[in-house]
Amino acid sequence: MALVKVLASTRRGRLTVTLSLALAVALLLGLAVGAVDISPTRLGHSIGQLFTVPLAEWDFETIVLFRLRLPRVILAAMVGAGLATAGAILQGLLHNGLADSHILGVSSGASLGAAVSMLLGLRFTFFGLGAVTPMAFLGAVATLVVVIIIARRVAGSSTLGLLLAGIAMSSFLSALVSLLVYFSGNRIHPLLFWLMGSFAGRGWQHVALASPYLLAGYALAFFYHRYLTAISLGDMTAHHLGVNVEKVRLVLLCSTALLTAACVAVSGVIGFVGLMTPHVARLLAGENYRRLLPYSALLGATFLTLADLVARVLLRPTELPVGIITALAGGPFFLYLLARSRKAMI
Amino acid sequence: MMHPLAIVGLCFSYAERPVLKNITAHFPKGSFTGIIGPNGSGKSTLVKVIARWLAPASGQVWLNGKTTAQLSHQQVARALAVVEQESIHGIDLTVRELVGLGRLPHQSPLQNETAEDKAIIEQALSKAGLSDLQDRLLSKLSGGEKQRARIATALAQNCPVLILDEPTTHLDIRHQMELLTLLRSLAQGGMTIIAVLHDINLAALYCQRILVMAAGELYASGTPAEVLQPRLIEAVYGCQVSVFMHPSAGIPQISLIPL
Repeated sequence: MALVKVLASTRRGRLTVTLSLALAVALLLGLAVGAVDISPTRLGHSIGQLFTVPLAEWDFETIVLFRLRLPRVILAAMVGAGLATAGAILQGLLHNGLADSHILGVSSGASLGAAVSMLLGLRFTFFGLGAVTPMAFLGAVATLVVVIIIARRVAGSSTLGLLLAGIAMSSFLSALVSLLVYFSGNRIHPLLFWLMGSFAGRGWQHVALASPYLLAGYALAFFYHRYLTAISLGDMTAHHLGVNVEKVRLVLLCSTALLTAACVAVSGVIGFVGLMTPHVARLLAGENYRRLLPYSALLGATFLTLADLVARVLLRPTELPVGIITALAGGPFFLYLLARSRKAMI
Repeated sequence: MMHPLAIVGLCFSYAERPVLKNITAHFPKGSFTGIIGPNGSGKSTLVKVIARWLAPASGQVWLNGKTTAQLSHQQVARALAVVEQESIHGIDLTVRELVGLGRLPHQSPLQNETAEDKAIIEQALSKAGLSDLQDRLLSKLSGGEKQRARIATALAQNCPVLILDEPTTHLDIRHQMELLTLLRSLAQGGMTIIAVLHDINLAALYCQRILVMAAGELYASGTPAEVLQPRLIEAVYGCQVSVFMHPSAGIPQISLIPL
């Protein structure tokens, strides 16, 4: 109770409580709504059962909840948090509000790595999942390196260079993935659906798979949050404040690659979460990454949980890939940012 | 006596084109030095090389008896604070948050502000006259206030040396004067201040010593009276001036002779 009082006493504390409550509500909604709706009382009953009754005596609804819906909702929240954090880091690191893993082609790079390992894995081992995330990580890192090197060679506007390099890499890598899918014969369907970004059929093993990468990526970023705030003011300013900019940038790029790779490996390419949510978080929290990182994560988790909910119920009983929902919301938002940034930068 | 800052034989080239040629100078404790010179004479490059943002082709920068090559990024930032010419990106920070970043060189990444940090930040804010504005966002500050916020950040670094690259450029005359008065009082308090200035008369009014740069070389250095000579100014800037005494300060000033 003392903690609640402390939290409620400051504006930032209230904001943290509000955002956490919003996420809790989104998670509960995600649990209650689906192919079969679960009423609030039944939901309460089932959640109680999870903790009080042994597994063998669970109701059908409790089993659905625990086996199917809970891991899916948690995974959506985790991926949302991961993508949003990656976007917030990239925007600060590159001094560019239009940066995120999807726009810069990092997600495509990760998906190429993941697709290659899925196809090879399906052929050669029974251990397909284990290789997917590391391969996605390699793809993400390689793409980031190429995009940033090319962008630095574009004279004048760094925004233009970054966006063009990112878009070119993104298209090229997506084409490579499509090519892989095309030549993979009967394995076409699961890969295609995965590519569009979806949480359909994801379970606890995916939560377990993504968690270490997401935790490591977030921890790295939070460890350097002050340096990231300094770098977001400008590389030279950060240097004068004693920050080893090259080293910190390398570590933080690895952190975004870890976050993106984990998200792509378990849910495919989901765009615009990483672009939108950091902007909303920045409006609420300012540029200080001590708050910007957790707020972005909370908002991203809430947004993607709700987007997945919409994807599940819009065409019930079938479901849409959640990537379509986020793109529908995010495309116009991106155009809005672009139109605004032209005014601010030129 | 060991100087807080000394540069010895600094050379630097941008893609084969020499920008700094064998610059040697030392800066005693508590001195206020102005660096003047025409556009492209290498003033800003000199600041960047001293701050180790650019690596010199040869020569060393000595900070209190150690070359910067021997020091870590944090150690350099504990000995030398720099206010750059370029404006900063982040505008969604409060003044307090920005000035708090001045403590970065003294902290490990996750360390919270100690009581000492807080006291130093308070002091920096009050020296820069920003105590009342500390919760304001940088985006809501005037040009003069923004410049003071950056100087307060540098003060929070608690360094013996402060270098500023054209700190008065976007300020009106009253704010220029306030800023230079602040720098002079910091020098009187024992800091070593070096400022790149465009306005020769202001440099003469406030600095004890003026370095004149021309085409990458240290063309002259000395007191305002030694440097503000019509022939020297004409040789460096290529324009004719007459020199007269400031009516009340007793310091030489220049006046342009129209072509």
